[in-house]
Amino acid sequence: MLTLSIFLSVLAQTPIDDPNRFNQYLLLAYAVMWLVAMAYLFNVANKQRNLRQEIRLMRRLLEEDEARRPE
Amino acid sequence: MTDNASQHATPATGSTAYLQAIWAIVWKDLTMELRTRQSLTIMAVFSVAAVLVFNFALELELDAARNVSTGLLWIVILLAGTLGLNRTAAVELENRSIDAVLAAPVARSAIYLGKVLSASLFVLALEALLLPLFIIFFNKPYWLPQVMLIIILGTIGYIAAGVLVSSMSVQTRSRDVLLPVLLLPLSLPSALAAATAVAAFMRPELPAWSEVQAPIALLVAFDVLMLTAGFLVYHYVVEE
Amino acid sequence: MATTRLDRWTRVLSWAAALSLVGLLLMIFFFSPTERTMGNVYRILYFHVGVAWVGALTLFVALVAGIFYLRRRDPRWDTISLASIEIGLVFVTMTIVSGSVWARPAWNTWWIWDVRLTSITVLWLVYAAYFMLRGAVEDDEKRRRFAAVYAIFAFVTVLMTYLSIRFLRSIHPVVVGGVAESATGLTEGESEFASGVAWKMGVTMAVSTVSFTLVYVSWLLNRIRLQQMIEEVAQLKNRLLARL
Repeated sequence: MLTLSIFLSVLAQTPIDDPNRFNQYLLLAYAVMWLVAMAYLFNVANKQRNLRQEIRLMRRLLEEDEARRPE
Repeated sequence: MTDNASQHATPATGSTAYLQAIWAIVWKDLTMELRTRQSLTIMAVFSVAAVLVFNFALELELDAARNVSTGLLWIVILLAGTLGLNRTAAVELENRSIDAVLAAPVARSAIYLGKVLSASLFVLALEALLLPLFIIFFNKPYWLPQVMLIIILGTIGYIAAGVLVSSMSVQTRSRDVLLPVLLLPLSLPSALAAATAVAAFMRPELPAWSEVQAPIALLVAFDVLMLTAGFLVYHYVVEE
Repeated sequence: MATTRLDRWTRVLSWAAALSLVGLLLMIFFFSPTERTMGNVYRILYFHVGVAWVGALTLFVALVAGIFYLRRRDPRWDTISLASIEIGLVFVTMTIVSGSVWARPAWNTWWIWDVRLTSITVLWLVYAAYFMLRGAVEDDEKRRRFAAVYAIFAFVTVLMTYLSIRFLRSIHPVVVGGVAESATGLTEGESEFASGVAWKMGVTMAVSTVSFTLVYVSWLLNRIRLQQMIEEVAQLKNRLLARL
């Protein structure tokens, strides 16, 4: 009787290892990596957008200037 | 002698001439430094001050102080070395003595090896000053020949990288700031391996070879890699 | 602006990378087995190890490109070197953060100064310093030359990081038990996984490496395009100034 009660109490205190118990870290890791990657891509895309505007503006300026004084 | 002598200088032929060139560089650096003593002074003053500060700061916890003394040793060597390298490179640039050296038909790699040798000698002199201080203040066996060997190995790799990086940083706008930023991270793999190895000897019993062979092998690998890299690319840094 | 060959390749590779990543995610969650001790969280490692290896690859490419620049003096090699280090730094960042999140359930701490984490942090610092160097040199030619030299030196750190992780046991004498050590590599960690399914892990890891290589190449082409734009702006500026 004593051994049975000890056995049952031990069994009750030991959690069965649930493979999903750390899933929040799994999600967090993927989320953070995704964020880092997106931050970089966003940065590059932003720079590209600004540069495209600048190029368009400068090309137009050059065209106007060349039209006025063709050198 | 063509105009491009400094750029396409025919290296002195023969290995004797090569070694003579290295020795000439070392001699030039030694005499210049002994005349002005700028780098040695700044390194010595900084190191002693740093050791004293660490000592006072950790006085309340003698055990902690003794345990971290290896790390402190390498911090001091790295920082003092940075100061010394910076000063040497700056003085050389000011005096234009580097131009005189480059104008001679000496292989750039010989100049590099000479500078590594002379800078190593300076830092080794500094370490000769530091080790007694560490023995006295921290009561740890820094006199062991194995410890000295590890320190020498650590110094060589650090200087091999330092000579090249300081030759670059001195040509930039922010020379004083840039050298530590570039050099310290580069030297950390070597410093970590060296600190690990030295720490193993700071215990009451000597460590087994199997315990220290990995960090020492890493140190040697670092030295070889840095020396080879510097040997091969130095002339790209000083071409004008 | 007309679609150049670069644009076309960029688009093709971006799609390839995206599809590959989707496939990888499916493999990670449906194909690879569940691990016994840690549960599903070990799946972090597929991304973590993948970006780590490809990060090292990008830094190697930067080294080679640096060497090519020094020998050929073509600025395009410098662009490849610069872009590769930029992307490499992002990959190393991803390695560090994913490793840190893995460490929390595995070793019960977000951070620990053991060999692995210390070495990778040093690596990050070394390559971040690359940009400090570039910023400090005014002359274009000198900047490219110095950057190439530094890219060569910095790769020594990559080698040292790998060697340190392989051969230096943890600096702390007692850290944690087998789980920490087995996170080093799949071969070591195989004992943790139910035998017989380890090959699935290997295949997934290989797919991960391939996927991130595609990601790297697509990002590289994109970054090269950005650099071309930067140069075009500089050229246009010069032409405008010349007319004033």
